[in-house]
Amino acid sequence: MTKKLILKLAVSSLLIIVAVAVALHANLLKLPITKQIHVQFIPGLEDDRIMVGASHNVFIGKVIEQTGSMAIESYPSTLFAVEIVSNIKGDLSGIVTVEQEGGYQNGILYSLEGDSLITPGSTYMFSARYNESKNWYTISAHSNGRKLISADKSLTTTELLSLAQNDEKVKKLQWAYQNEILLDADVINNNTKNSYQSLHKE
Amino acid sequence: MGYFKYRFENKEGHYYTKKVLFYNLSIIQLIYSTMKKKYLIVATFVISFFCSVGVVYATHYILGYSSVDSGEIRWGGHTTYSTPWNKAIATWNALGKINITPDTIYTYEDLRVKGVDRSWVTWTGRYIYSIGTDTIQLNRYYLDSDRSGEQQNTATHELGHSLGLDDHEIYGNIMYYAQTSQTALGSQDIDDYGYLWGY
Repeated sequence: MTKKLILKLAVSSLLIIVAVAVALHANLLKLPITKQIHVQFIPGLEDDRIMVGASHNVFIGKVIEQTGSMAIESYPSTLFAVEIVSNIKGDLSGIVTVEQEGGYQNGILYSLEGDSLITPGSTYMFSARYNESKNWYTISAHSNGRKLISADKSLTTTELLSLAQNDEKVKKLQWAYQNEILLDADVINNNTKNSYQSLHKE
Repeated sequence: MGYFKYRFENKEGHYYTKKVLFYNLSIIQLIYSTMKKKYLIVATFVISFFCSVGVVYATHYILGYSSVDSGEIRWGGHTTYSTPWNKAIATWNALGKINITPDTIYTYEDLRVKGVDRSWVTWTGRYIYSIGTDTIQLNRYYLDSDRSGEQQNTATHELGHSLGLDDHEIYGNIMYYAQTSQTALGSQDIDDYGYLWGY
């Protein structure tokens, strides 16, 4: 093997390593590795009245696209643009930014209690809390806080609205909103946004 | 009579053991040898039934990783909930197999505890396993308005993760997936700890 060939191989290997490192850092290359982040949920979220009470906004929204990912204290979060179809709690309209805790970092998927990343094109019922400093809505990883309404990205807003209106879970949450149980921490911190009581004063 | 012990992983990634009871073959052979042929088939069905009833499932909820290093967890960092935190440490240390103790300048920090203020999430605490020092975050937004029992529950729960225990939905245990006011370990907690670190 000539010196020239060895040099070519060394440079090629170095370029490949750099390319892989850049791809991993930019999350262009996704490794089949998932790291779990284990959380202890606030109590009672399996009860719809508490789930709605613990949310600032509950809405049906179609995921348009992933708009970014970021690290909050070293752990990733993923941002999505979501088009509002209808509201159960709150009054959102147009396209809002939704944050999902977890996501890809250096090619590794970080997942909160096995929560899958939401899929662009799909429409979900979301339970979310408002992050005032970032102006986005952080969705709960609790299984009772989200439901896939449709994975069909070709459906129109009218069709999605019709699906949502006939969805049993949506109906349950509409009832739960009227009977919501607010969190002590939110009451103490004056952070009960869109509470039924505050918006339906007689 | 005795049992074989197998280890499985279910769809959710939880490990569990399956204890399969068996009966001494020599006893079965003795019964069979004294039995008339016409009862042989019936006896086989009866024994099979009791053997299948004797299958005992002992599910263990474990992560497959932990912050434990050479029989101990050296922790650093700071929490404003020092009393519940220390009580949580004492709760696990009472089981005697793994020693959770503060980090010193001569030891490697296995676990770091810190407070965070996250009003926009729905969790009270979380545990993140890393290649280096693992992290426990205690969410002050919720814990500040909680009673000491609930604060201790969260601290004990997150320390349970650092010991390699996973969440589950068995109420009456510290590793129940949501916060409660329980401060003492439940039977599943003790069983899972024992499975990992010895009884």
